[in-house]
Amino acid sequence: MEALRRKKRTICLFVLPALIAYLAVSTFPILASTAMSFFKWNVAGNQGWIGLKNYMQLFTIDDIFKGSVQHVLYAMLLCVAIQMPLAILLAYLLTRTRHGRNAFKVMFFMPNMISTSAIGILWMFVYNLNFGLLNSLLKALGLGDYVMPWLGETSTALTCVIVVACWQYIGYHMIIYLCAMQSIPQSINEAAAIDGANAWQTFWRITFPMLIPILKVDMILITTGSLRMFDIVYVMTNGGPIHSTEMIATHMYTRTFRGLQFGYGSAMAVILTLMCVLITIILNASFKRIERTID
Amino acid sequence: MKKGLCLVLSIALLLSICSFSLADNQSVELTAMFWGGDDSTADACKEAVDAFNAQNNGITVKVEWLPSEDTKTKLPTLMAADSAPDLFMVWSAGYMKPYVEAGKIYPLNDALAADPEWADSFLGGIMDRNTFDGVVYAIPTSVSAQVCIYNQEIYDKYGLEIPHTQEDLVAGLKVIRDAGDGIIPLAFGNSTAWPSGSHSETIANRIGGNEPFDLAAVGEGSWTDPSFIQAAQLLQDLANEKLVPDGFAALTPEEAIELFKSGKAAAINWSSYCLGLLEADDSAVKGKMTLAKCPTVEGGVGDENMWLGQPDRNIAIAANCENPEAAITFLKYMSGIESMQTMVDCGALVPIKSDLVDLSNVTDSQRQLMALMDDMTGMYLFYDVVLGSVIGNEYNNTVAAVMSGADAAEAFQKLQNFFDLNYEP
Repeated sequence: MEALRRKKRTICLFVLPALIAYLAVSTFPILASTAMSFFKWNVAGNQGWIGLKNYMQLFTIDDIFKGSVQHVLYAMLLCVAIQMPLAILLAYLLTRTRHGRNAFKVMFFMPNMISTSAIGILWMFVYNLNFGLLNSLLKALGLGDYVMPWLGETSTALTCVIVVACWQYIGYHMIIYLCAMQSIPQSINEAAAIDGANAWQTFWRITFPMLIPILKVDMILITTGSLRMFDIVYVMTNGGPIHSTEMIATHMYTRTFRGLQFGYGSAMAVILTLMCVLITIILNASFKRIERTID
Repeated sequence: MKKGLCLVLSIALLLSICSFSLADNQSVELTAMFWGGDDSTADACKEAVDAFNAQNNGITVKVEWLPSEDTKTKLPTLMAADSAPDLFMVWSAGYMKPYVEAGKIYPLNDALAADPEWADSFLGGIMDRNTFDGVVYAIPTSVSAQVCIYNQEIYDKYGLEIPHTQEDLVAGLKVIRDAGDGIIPLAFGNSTAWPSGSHSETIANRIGGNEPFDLAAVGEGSWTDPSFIQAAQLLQDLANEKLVPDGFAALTPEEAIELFKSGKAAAINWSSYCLGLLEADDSAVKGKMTLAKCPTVEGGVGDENMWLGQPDRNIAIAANCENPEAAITFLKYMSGIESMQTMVDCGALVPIKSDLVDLSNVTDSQRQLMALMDDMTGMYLFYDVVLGSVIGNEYNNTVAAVMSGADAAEAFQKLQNFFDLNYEP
């Protein structure tokens, strides 16, 4: 008994530095920011308690915030719709590839390794009206009518930026699914082949159900990541044209560092965190039900 | 072993004491955060700082050069943490106001009063927008002015006169558009929204004069004043008549300047900071530019000698600077005749009286601009500088929206609503 207690104390002692570091860097700023959101806080410091006024303003008066919430929800749906099927498909194709599997793996993962700023600038050139790759391709295919300033039109800018974000992270999600698929024992696939199952049946009836836990994790990653989208938007359009690509994070950044409204920005940060937590809870509950159905 | 250790420790102690006393004789070191970048004014500024440091008068200034956009993030963060550098560059009016009100900037009235020669060297009224409650808080080291630049070669080719009214300007641009040679009439790029903002400000001032903005900015006027709506409407007409490049809403300001610089566009209405780029050796328009005051509008009350611009590259001293006297010495040097001469030679406009500097090295466009500004009756500031970041950006976005097709009256009513909700006097 004594040995166990001493062991526990030793364990606590060794975990303590990491715990302190984590609390200081992660938990404390979140709590401080939450506290800041209830005050009027600008560059001169704390200007006084205002309670829920920042939150009221966000939900009632701030049209830009309302727009940004719609944009991030759209981004979330689009990212899941684009990234998940493509990542699963690419991972599946990679498991069936014998030659050059590593080369393809690296190639698909490459965008994830490049800095977001570089990707943003690259795609700004791709979308350029006069010499961009996309418009040149459309003209070459005889679709010259569809040539337009993709990042300059309020109707297309948001989708274009989200597509770039998807392009950046598909490789990352592909790797996750690839690892999951490779951990499925070969004997199961062989048994299915012996029983006369074709490729599609093997995938849909055997591989896919075994991916469900990974699917849950990955979907949480995609949804929370897209809700928090900032860097690619900042580089490519900075919320423009005319707030059509404004995300919660970019609006928060503008109000905090340009408008010097630290309390207001903190309120937006808290709302964003709550949205991510809510999505995680909803996804966890939904997948629990799905897993139960499958079992 | 013990004796050896004692010896080492006592030597270490002696050395540390020595370094303390040495510190008293060391020069004063000031930290600074200034706007770097690729343009010639930044180079001139760097030259001036190096010259000051080379003077060896006991003051060394260590500068962090950042693109001005990046300082918009870094400075507030440092200010909020009370760890701002001793010297920093700021925009005037609404941008500086929060820092002044928070008491984070060192007041300069005493320094100016103590040196009347320095105080008098500046152009009249140039520090008005750096002054709050009668106290000056920053010294400008440059001036920006919105000016119209025309490619004389293209204008001669089509037999066009340099316009002085909006109507003549538009008529001339239409001729260039219809000529079918693929020359873009007016270089323009609005991905950052402020180009349309500043262009509209020149037109609005020509229509309604200074009053509409002066009143609207402090909540005593209205953003639905006809001068604002009409100005935005005129820009919408430019877009509808295809007198600006296709897809201008996605073009960056750099691309817009490049269009004019490469000779692909006939005219540009832009802030004078671009002159340094347009006079570069690789510029296709070097020596072919004719500058003109922003055109008047028929029936408007504003005259062409009221200039849109701002005191630029203002340097301020942090309130918690430990050596304000050293900082003021540096400030006097940076706005003094020597470094102003360096700025002039590099193509910048300076905020001191033009007879104090030698103008023999200035570029042709600079000389033209200075001559045009001799009759200046006053200067009004870019709206987003006066209004501050939140409302200023909304003004720019409103004009950008109108230019892209929104209804002008509706858009400005929305701006008025936004102003009412967000204005803090």
